[in-house]
Amino acid sequence: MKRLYLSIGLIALLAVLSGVHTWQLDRVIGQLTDQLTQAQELVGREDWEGATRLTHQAKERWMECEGYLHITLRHADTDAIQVSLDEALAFLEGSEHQPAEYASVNARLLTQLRLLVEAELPTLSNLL
Amino acid sequence: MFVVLIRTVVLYLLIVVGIRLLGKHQIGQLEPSELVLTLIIADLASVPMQDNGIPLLWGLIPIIILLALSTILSVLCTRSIRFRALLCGRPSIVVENGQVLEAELKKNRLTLDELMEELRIQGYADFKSIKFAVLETNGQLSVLPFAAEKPATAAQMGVPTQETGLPVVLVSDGHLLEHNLKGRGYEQIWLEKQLASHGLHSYRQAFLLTVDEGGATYCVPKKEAGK
Repeated sequence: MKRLYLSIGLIALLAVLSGVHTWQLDRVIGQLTDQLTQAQELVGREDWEGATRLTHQAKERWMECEGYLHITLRHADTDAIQVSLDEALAFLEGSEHQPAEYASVNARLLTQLRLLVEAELPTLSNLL
Repeated sequence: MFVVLIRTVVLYLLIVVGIRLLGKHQIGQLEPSELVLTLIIADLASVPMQDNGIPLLWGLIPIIILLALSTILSVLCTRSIRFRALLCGRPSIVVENGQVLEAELKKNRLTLDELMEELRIQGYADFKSIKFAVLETNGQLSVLPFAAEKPATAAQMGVPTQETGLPVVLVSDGHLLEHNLKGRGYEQIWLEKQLASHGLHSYRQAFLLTVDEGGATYCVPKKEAGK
């Protein structure tokens, strides 16, 4: 019976850890999405410095979790988001401001982040 | 490359430990659920082993879950006859009193050729000598011949025999297994005497030394010692 309880416990533990992982990922990506959306709004108001600051904060937050995300998510997905973050920062910090290009990169970044969370959610579409 | 090496070692060790934890039963005989487990684990392990872009956890977690599920199923199988029958099926009698049971063969999708091949492997050329042939749940065929076809035993022949019991290894490749020596109730002096009777001065010169319950020893000297 010890083996039975141990096995059930192990599965339950992994299920709980998976739930915690999804919750944690949703929280982190939520924060990033908020910051990047705000940055987009600031660019709309010609506040490029504010947008750069927020995007930097988003990049720092991403880098804080990079190790954990690299261990738990497909490496190609995490790498793509890092590249998009750098790309967005390059547009913000460039000498010539290009709002259309920045908007395009930021929109792609937001979509990548959304898809990353959606792939981890225990929804029927993901299960199927 | 170094990452691939470490990932391979981790996955291999996990599978070896997991299969070991499942018990000896799973190693020797595969029930349907165990066969499925083996096939899936082999596939699950190979993908993160080859592709560094996939997190190692994606290979480890499904393997751990499968091993845990397999343990749960095997425990439930030992506790419930119904569950065991549902998961592993029941043994089928395919030959009874020398008669092949065609319906059972069809039910188990076993051809006559396969049955005869299996019987020949076990030393039975015709059905007449077989009382029962049972197709076990692990796919093996057990054959029980008629009493008249069974080889005569020493007891049936009235020949007196002596039980030698299970021989225990005392020296293996020059290494003394002290717990076996003490387990049989012998001391080092007794061992030295036994080695001397085989022309050896030390257990390091012995390749194999066993003793049965009657105290009889069997010794194979190492090649260097024999020269």
